[in-house]
Amino acid sequence: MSLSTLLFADTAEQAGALADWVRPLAGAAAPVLAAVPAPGVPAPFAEDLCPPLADLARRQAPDLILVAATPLGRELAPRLAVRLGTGCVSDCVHIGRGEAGEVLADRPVFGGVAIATVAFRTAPAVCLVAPGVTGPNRGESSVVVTALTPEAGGPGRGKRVVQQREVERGVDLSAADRIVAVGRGMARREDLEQIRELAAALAAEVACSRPLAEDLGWLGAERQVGLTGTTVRPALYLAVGISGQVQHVTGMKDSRVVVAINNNRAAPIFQVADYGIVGDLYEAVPALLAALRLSES
Amino acid sequence: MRILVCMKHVADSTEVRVDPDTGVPQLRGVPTKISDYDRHAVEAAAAAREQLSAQVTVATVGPREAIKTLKEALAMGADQAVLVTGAPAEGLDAVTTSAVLAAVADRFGPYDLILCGEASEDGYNAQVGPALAERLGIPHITYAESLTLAAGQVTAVRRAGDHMETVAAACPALVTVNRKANRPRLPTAIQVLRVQSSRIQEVRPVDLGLDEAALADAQPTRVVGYRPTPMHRKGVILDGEPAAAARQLVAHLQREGVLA
Repeated sequence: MSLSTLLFADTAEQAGALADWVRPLAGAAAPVLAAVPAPGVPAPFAEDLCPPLADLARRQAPDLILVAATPLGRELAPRLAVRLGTGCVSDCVHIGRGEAGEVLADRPVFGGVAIATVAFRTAPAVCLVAPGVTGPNRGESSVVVTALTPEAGGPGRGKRVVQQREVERGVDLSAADRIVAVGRGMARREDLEQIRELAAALAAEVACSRPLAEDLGWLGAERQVGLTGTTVRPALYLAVGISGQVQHVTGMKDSRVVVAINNNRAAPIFQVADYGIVGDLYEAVPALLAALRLSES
Repeated sequence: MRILVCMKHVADSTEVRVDPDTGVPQLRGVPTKISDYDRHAVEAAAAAREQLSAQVTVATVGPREAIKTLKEALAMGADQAVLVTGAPAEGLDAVTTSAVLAAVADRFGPYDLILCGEASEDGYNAQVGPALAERLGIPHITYAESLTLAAGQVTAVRRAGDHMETVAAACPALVTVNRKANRPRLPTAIQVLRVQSSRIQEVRPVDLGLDEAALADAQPTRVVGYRPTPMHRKGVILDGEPAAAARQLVAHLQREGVLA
């Protein structure tokens, strides 16, 4: 039995990607209804989109409401769930059905080391799915798009965007082919020079774990890998002095080849590494640099 | 000006391991603590208390051990704390938690400003803030990287995709605070110990007018199983002295075709 589905996305293009992703569940027969914010309203608020989306959901009575996990969608989905008297699951990676027909949503927990299956007892099931999970719009699904006009006069009144500016684009780790990431194992800020040298020899970008960016401020937030930083998928990920806490692993676990250098054999990073060197990074990094130079000559 | 800070007492996620076969998190014996994001929410409230003489209440839904988290917030400068106990040990889902917190806001409020961390450290659902704002019929601003309070209005700078925006909202409003928002003050262990337990009011859902049994049973979602995240890694450990290990590593990486 197929799941009747309603989609919400920022754009029709994004709605198409959601529709393609959910097609095996929703069934290919009927077109999927998707709601997107009406054009001409720059930066609509979740507060104002929630009432018309809830009205649409009540009329359609879908089993599943799939919301694109964009900044807007992440705000809208929990509000919608409250308004509809149902639940919401963030960061779904898979959706299925249980024996009693209930919607089951899988999501990573504890930073991604495990996947939890969450069962809905209420309908509709509101599920957030990240664009990185759905993949691109392949145009395989037939989608009927309806434009939602924000409802003025709700909780969004008295809220306004005062100013907008582009984020200065620096390094983009998500596009890097090779990354050398450094963590708490590094004792002094000036020792970062060794990491930069290693990264240069590998034609890699320099990255770091959360403590180095957020607590110590040795590197900028744009170089932080993990749950609260950037998610990366390079061909080579070299983790130096990183213990491999779950927040970090979440951000790099899809790298093709993972190498870990750590002095603690029990560090969790070795569980997610293809190659590991157990040892003092202050010995291993110069040795690796020397070996790389030797291999080039 | 009255401020409510909603907090969560969590298992230290850096100490959580999962059973490699079943994927079930092994939580027994894992130390518990204040969710890191919430420290920033408390700091924002403590700063407002100093600058604007705001009155600050912190609240959490959780086990009795959550007193530890509330005491830390009180030591940071909050005036009083509310602990809602009586929820199931495995916790409540985010939408249900927002219902309990809304009842706290009704019972002990009204509040001009409600602050939350951007998400909790353990679940990272980032749902409670917007869900609570929806229940209270107030606007929210999420992922605030800085915030200012003045004349019945809260203004916050946040990142929305590829741009930064400054958003203002009339109070009452709810703001979820990012880790960039401030540097939380660190109370000493002695300061936390000295916090009088009498400043923490313990209530049960029934005291807030909620049906306890229904609260647990009627949760819209519940976790029904775990499995380990598939990780297909070679796990080759290169022992030996550094120069030899480094040479072996370079040879492996050349074979993998990942060197420039």
